[in-house]
Amino acid sequence: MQKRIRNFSIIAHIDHGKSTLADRLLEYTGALSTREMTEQVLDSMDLERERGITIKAHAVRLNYKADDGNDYILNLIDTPGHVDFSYEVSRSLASCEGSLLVVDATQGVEAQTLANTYLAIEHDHEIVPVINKIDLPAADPAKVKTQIEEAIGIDCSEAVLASAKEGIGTKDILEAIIKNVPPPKGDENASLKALVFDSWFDNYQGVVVLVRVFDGTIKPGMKMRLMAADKSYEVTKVGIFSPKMTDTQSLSAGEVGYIISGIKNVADTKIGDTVTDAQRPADKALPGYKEIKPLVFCGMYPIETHQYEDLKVALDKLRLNDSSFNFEPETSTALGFGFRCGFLGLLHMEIIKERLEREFGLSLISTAPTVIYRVTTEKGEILYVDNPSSLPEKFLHIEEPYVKVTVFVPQEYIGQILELCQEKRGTQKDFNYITTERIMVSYEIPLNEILWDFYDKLKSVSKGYASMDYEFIGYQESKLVKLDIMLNGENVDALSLIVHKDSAYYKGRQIAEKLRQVIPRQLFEIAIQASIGGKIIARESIKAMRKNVLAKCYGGDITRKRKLIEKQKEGKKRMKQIGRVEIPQEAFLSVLKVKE
Amino acid sequence: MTGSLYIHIPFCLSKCNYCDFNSIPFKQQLADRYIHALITEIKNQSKDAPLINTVYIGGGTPTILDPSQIQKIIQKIRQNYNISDDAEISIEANPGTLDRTKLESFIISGINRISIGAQSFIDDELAFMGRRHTALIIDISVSYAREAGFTNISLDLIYGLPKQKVQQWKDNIAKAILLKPDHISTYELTVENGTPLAHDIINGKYTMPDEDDISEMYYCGIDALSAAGYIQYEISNFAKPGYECRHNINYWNRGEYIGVGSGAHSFCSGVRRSNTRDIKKYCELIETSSDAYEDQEIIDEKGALKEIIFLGLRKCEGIDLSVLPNEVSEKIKKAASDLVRSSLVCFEDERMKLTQKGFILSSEVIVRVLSGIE
Repeated sequence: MQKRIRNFSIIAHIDHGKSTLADRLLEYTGALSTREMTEQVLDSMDLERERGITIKAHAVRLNYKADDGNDYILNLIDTPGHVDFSYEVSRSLASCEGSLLVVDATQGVEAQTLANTYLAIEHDHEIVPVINKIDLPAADPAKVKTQIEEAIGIDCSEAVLASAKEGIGTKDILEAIIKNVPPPKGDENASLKALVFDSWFDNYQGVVVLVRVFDGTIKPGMKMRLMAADKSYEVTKVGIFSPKMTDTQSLSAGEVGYIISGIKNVADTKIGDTVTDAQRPADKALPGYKEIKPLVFCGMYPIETHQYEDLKVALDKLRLNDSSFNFEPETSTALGFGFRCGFLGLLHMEIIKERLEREFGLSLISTAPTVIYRVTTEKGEILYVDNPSSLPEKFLHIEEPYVKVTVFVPQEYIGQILELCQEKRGTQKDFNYITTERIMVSYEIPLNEILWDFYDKLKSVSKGYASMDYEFIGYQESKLVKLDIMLNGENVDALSLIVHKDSAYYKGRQIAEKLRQVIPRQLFEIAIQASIGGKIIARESIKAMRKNVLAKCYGGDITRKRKLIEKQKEGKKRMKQIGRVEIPQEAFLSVLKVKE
Repeated sequence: MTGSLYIHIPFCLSKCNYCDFNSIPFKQQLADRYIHALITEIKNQSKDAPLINTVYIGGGTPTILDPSQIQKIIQKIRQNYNISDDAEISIEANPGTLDRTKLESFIISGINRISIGAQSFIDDELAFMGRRHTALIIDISVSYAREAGFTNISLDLIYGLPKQKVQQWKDNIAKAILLKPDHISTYELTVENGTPLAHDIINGKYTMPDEDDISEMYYCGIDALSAAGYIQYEISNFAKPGYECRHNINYWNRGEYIGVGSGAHSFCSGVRRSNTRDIKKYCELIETSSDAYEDQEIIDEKGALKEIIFLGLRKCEGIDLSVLPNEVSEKIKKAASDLVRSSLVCFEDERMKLTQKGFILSSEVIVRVLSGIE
């Protein structure tokens, strides 16, 4: 049975055509007729389709009759494509024996692709190179092949040339998978061991768990145990995605599919956990399980205080489907009641915020994202600070999280990239020519420094050609201070920031200046002050509003006038009143958008 | 019961760069069809109409029409409505579309007030706005109007043009005063989305004067006009005593009015309605059915209170709180208490008024009062 199974994933940079290729494979193997195809079937969340990225993992079974006359089962495990979700990627990869490495014939290898390819190689994957978009006039497959060989060291002599858009090379890809990706080698008779690589909450079925079975068999009626969570459930259904959810009798070693077992809370199904038979448990869980911890934090507050309960309900609901973010209540003197939320990264944060606003109709203020600092108090206690306003006034020392950032860049932009990394307090760790034209550099940089605009800047200084990846490496001591902002003499805690001492003065001035630009004039003058440890380091003022008047009322059109007034009234509602000052939403993020 | 009648003429010689009003360049054939529909609608709307105190023929540029067509319109109105003896009958005009014959014919038709869209007395500014006249033509138009027998002439002026300096605005006001109109309206230029001006501003071709300059223009306009004997009776309107525009006052007082023509608005029995703005569609609708309404809104008690506030506060006399239910007037007073402290609002004998400073911040003030009573 297992020798007719192939489990594979697709590694590609954003826009290199992963989703289109997946669609093409589905279509070719008849999993979906052309008529049934909505574009990019696998990216089913609206947000995913809009942003062209995959946020959650997916698994689809394809049936394929190969040229050797045999029928094969191919399981395609689609993985998230963003650095925020690298743990999920690693678990998806652990569920497969091989990967398609899809590289755009006009763009070449990117940092993200490389990082994921290395990850796949670490998981002993056979890599099947696919050069995509060969139909484009700018395509240079030969050059891209050399690049892959030089950068990754895999043989490209049999790389498949394809155009997913035009349907070129689809069959060759399928044949290459059969030929090169090894079949699973599990023991069907051993105790059950299945790897959880995704899970989500379904309103009708409860939690749906996606697994790859390594050993043994799982069937409805069985009692299963999640080893890390240490919880047992009765299996009610198992099945596969074809791509529609289809129940089956069982899932055996080598197979990929879903389990439904009356689990109510998605947080109980941790990605990377091992499912085993409660009656005949495996003695050891599958390797690689990690408890994932948020790296990036921000406060989320409803603009209208009465939406606090709605926000809580919405966060609870989202967490049902995404256990990788967390939240706990916090209070801000400026913003009232809200939540401090933790995310895997910035994209993750943006996605959650967008979903809260879009799917739950909330209007929110989110404070500037921050990392979690490790503070040693004078008494020698260790505090983890995820909100600048809770940094104690006195402490022994403070440490901040560092990441190792890997950047791939054509050599003509290397100067600007090095400058950018230096500016962000980076220490160079590696500098290699991958090919004669492409360089890989790695830096140790405080996570805080890359939070906001690093990626945008990286793209802009390299005209879009540089790509990056990062991983958390640990805490290091830093000279950090708290920068406070006051409006008309009142400290606005939600605007506080923790910044490096050397740039504190500059940042204080920049933020004061930026706030002067984003806070609209009001009926009175507003003083903006930035301070460090009570010492004022910058001040600005916003002059009182001089005029705000609607022009003539034309031909008795009172309705239009009323609408204009209502629009102004709505605009006012979207602002947060702090003391007497009304502050627009963007002010809370503008503190991060200061020039270096 | 008394009310007003508004007649819309949606044609102009050409479109000005700041204009997003309901108007299109003049075409004879379409104009003939339109007037025909208009006359039908005048008749259709007359059922249950109140006694008409004011008639306003606005646009567009009504004076672009042949005087006989204006005559026909007025005749039709007189045939179908009760017009009070001392009715104010206004026509809106652009300089350059006026000649002696036209003006005399208006007088004969019974039109007794003319509102001339002067906008500026600086030729460069006029050219910038895409106006088709020069300062000299304004002078001539005003003297022709006087000669024809108009005893109630109003001039419209616009301030706050890109690059305009306070001094230029002062010059404009001074020149307007020299012509001794009976009424002057001064409007700040509003940049409306979708106009050529908005496009130029977005593209950085022009920048608008800053808030401080605009407010200075507003104040020096008021000073110059009051020194010349014009009494401010609304945010943008000034008149010699007895020459206030009764038609507009009726709007602000929430009196009833019937609007006829494309895009015209009506307010009768607590319902606000508007006709379709599309001229061809308007003609079709009137030719095939009895009206051309596109939107209607029933003003409930809450809506009426909002209107009382935002319309009433535009007038210098403000709002009469004594006619409102006690709890409502208390609520308003409470909502305005901060604004009184900031000298934007004042209370005098149960009337709530904006101060001079309140006028130029009126939108802010009104929004605060409305939010406060919610």
